[in-house]
Amino acid sequence: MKKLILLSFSILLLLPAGLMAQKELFEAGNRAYQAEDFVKAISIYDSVLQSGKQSAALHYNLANSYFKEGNIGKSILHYEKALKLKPQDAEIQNNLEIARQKTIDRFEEVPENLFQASRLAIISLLSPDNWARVALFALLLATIGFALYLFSQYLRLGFISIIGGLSITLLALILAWSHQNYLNNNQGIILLEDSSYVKSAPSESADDVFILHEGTKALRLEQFENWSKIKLPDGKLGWLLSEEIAVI
Amino acid sequence: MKQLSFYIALFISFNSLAQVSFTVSVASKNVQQGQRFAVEFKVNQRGESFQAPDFTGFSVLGGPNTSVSTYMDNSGTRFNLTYSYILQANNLGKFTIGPAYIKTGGQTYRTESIDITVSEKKEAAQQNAKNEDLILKALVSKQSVYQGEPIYARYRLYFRTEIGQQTFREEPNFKGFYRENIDDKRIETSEEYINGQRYVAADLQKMVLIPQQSGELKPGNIGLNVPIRINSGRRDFFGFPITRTSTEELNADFPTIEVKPLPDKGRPDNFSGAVGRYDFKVSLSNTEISTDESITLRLEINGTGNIKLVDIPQPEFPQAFEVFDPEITERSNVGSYGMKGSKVIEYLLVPRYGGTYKIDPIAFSYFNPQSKSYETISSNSYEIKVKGGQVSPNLAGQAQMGGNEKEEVNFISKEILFIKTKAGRWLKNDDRFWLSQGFWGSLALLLLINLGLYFFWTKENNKRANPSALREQKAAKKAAKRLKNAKKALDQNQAAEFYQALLEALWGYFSDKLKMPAHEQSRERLLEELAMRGLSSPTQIRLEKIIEQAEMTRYTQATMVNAQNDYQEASAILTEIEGEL
Repeated sequence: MKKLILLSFSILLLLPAGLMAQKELFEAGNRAYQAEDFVKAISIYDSVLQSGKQSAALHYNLANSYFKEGNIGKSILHYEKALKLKPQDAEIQNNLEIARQKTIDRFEEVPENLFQASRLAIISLLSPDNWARVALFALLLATIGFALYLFSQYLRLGFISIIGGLSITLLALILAWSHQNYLNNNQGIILLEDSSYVKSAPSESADDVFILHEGTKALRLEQFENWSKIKLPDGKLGWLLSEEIAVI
Repeated sequence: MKQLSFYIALFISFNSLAQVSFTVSVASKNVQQGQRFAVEFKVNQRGESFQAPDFTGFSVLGGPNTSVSTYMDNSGTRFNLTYSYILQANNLGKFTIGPAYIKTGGQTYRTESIDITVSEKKEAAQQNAKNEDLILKALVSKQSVYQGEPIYARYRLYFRTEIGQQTFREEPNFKGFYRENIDDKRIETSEEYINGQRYVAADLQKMVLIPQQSGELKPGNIGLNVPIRINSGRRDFFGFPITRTSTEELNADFPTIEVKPLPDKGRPDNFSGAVGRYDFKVSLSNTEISTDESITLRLEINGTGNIKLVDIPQPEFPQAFEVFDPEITERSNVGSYGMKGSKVIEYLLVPRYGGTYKIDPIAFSYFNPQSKSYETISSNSYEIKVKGGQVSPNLAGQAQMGGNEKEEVNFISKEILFIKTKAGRWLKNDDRFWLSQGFWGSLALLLLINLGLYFFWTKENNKRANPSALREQKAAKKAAKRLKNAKKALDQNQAAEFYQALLEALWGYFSDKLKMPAHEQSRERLLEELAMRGLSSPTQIRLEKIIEQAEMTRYTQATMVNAQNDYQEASAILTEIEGEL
């Protein structure tokens, strides 16, 4: 019993302590950045990430530090991660664009076909998590409608709520599933090596198809042993060693 | 014809009276091993049974070749018969060519025996020095130069005898040099004195050499074959000197060139190997254009030095311009000054977008061997105004030629924005709601709520709906069903049909309910039966009254006055009976 009390006490103490720690570390990192000690700032921000916590601002600041250090690949990686958490943030978009201008590879983006593009546009309206939240909210609506239908005089309103709520729930669940599926099969990756030969097959001895440079963004379609099959914005396909890339 | 032969015979007989001379001659008594030389035996009378010596120690390459000549001089007609052999000296040492014999006029004559000394083969150059009629020299303008600095070189032949067409037997390989010959249409000659001797000098070959590597470079040996006339010291029939042609083999060493590497100190970054003295000019055809025009950027390098090997600096253009393949014009001359000329490169630029763009200064660096230092010429920077057209968008996908200018031009900062000072919402690294425990929990909770609602509702319903109420409800429904036709007639205001239907409904109901056959149907029997089944008396009275009233309308004029009331009364009674029974 005594132990239990002690344990719960220590949990109570640790919980805010952990929260404090990452906030303080974040601010310490910011001070290092302000003092132009970017290497220190990177190590501090990284330690927060290592502790299993992240935020859009943390990734953004880390990306800024990498940029100042001249590590464009990692800088772009963390801007992309920040943007993933906060897609509408203007600062992140701006800095990502500047970092991208430092990269070497340029691509003509091939237009996807209209059906695929519109499907992608629809499933990408919300993240899978938010689609899931929409589904649950709609289910809540349907539940309220059911209650109204059963226990009140507002039969019509209740009925509409049930039908509408259920169909939105179903739709949102399908979209959440599709989006997650798309993300799983099209993981954004950033090349971290200075330059890297893309092979025609997952093997060292395979032919070189083309060469990519640091900071290039691509999609990972599949993985085989320690190789990743990637797709470039212009539609080119090839294999890269998984250790040379990082997933956004 | 007979006469002519007679005269010839006469001459010969006359000559035969003269003193017989039979001599041997060699070009030189000192020969080198392997050298070819001729041995001639001459007799001034017609002879026969010529017997050559055995040329021990020599190999006979040719002969005997005989030649006969007759000529006249003051002393009369002379006759010469020559037997010649071409020999080659094989072994070292002193060899004797023994006497040769010939019979003439019945007498046998013999030649002297001569000693030939065969010496070791000497260097050609040394032998060359012996012949002072011909001197070959390779002359260079400088023997110590910087790498890339042109040298003027020529092969000069000095001669004081008549020479024929020369041919090069051997030429230097000029390893490590870039070589360009100077082609002269004709060879000019001049007079020069060497060791007090007057020579005619001619430059056989002139060239410009540019060393491509540093160190002591030895281009090699020059070998020249010059045919010369050798005066035999005698004169021919008409008094001209008798000469023969011999080929002299001349040799000369090309001087060693000391090539100094270019100094590392002060070498500009953009230095690309130009050595000499240059002028660098950059011009732009126009600085204000509209988007549908083009401009030309012209770079010109002009000067003396290794112009052929000079690289023109590559300018950087703003990204908003389309740059076509440049046009390159080269012109160079070689001469005693070395090499001079110009290189011109012209770029055609077509703007894609409107705006103001900058072309950074273009710098050209060269090494000046005279001042022994690097010199750099920089052009001005140019500003180009492009009128009209849309302003260059900041396209990441565009080919980038102008480096960082596009950011300046497009007013897009190169510098990133400052960090965020507020951490915002903290998330766990792989915080995912979709398919997480929270998601499934919420889903299950909502479904459970629905299920709960349903169970709650059914339970409530059962509680609320007590048995009598339920029965009453059912009875009312049944009554309404029975009275359907009556209701229809009521709505149509047809009194007779209404009462008829009302009666039929009532009887129909009771015959079903009480299982009364049609022939037993009477009011008394009905009431009796109902009373037996325990129908309350007020209801009985009401039923009796309504039946009576309905039947009555059959026999009297049916009116609609009480129809509405009667319908409701019938409905109420039926409901009541259904509930009670």
